[in-house]
Amino acid sequence: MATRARPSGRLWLVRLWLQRFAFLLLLAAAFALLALGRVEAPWAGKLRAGLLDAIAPVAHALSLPGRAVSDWFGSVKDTAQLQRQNAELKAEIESLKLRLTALDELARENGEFRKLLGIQIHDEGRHIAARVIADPGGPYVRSVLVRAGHRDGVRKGRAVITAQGLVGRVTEVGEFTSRVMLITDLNSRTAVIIGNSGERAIMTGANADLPRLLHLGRSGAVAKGDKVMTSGHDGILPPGLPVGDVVEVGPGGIRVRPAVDMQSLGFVRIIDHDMPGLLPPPGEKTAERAAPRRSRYDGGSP
Amino acid sequence: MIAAPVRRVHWYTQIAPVATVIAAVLLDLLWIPVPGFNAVAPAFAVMAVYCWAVWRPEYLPYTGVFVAGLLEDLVRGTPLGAGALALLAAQGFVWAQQRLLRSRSFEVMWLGFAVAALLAAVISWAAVAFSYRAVLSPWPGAMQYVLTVAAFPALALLLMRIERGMPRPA
Repeated sequence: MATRARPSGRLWLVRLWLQRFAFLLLLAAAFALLALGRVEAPWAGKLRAGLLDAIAPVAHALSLPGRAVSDWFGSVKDTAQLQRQNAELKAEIESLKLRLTALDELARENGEFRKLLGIQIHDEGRHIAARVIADPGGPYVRSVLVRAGHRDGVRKGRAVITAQGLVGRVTEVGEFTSRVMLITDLNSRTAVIIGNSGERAIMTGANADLPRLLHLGRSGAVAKGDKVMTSGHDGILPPGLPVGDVVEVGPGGIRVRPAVDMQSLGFVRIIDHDMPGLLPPPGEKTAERAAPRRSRYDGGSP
Repeated sequence: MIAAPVRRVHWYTQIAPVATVIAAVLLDLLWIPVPGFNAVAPAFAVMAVYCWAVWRPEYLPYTGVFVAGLLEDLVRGTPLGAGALALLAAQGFVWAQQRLLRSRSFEVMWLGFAVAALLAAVISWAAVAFSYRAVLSPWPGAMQYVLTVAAFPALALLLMRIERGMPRPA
């Protein structure tokens, strides 16, 4: 196919001016989009979700070489440490067997006490396993793309975890791909509870490795090494998910090291779990919904 | 009256610039197994926009750059408009400095890119900060800028091969 090239003379001059005008117009359009960006329009959400599915095959293909290299180094490292790891794992299994027996006993006791007190515990929900296929955030966003979407039952706001603890929550959902905002992202807010003190706080990401704790009642009650868990008070994430450990307490604030290593995410689990939210689904009456939920949630929060 | 001669341009010449800019945007999805690298990985799209704006500005329309910028925002999850502003700024810089940058040595072109990429990085940082209504640390962006400038010759040489392989107007 061959097409006409640039014209000459006056027409070329007109086109040049039109191009200059188009440049300024597009700059203004970009700025307008940015200014309106705080108001998350439904079309923008649909566009983002649709694009996730479109770029998923590319993301998957581009992740393969890196995964192969990473897996190869991992297998070499594992082989070298196999004997030592085997001995360590055997010792750990024995120790865990003892703890499991004690935990079974505690769970049975706990169940009996709950029956006596009439407390209902929230449903833990089902877990959807998903592979991390890309980490395209750049300098100002901490997010990953995972290979699971609407088709698998993923919905916006769901908690994402690994065996170690909380990773983040789902912010965009495509048909078979979703975006997960990590707890280290600047826009991440997580209601947490600090293990030893029982203090409640909001953990906020800072686009750095260590998120900060804000809105603490008595910050003196928090010490290095304290465990941080989700409290469930944000009405989004289920309570009791391990988040990390307090590693810094000082004038610069209180910082938490996430339990999950965000740099080496391979597989994650998305918790398909309904939290008692403030707004009922469309068509459902608030009064009918709020009463049973409140009583159900009382026992769920630590 | 004698009509002006009509030159014919091969379709490959017309689509290659925008196509390579979009491919560069999708390179953001490349997964590098180095902890922390993806947060500061080079901004390939700025490199592609700069190269084509210098070599073949007539085949890199502003609308194409705008769409590539929006695509970058959608891929990265950054506020819509931030990527488009940064890429258009880089293109606008080349447009303003066309005489200085065209037909010069590669070193001059690299130096010009360092300025264009700095402009794009600062605008991107300011745009995201404006959208989040927050003061962002400039260090991840600064680190990305250094890596982008350092990686420029590699992508520029690849794009140069594509540009030289383009059929000339008949």
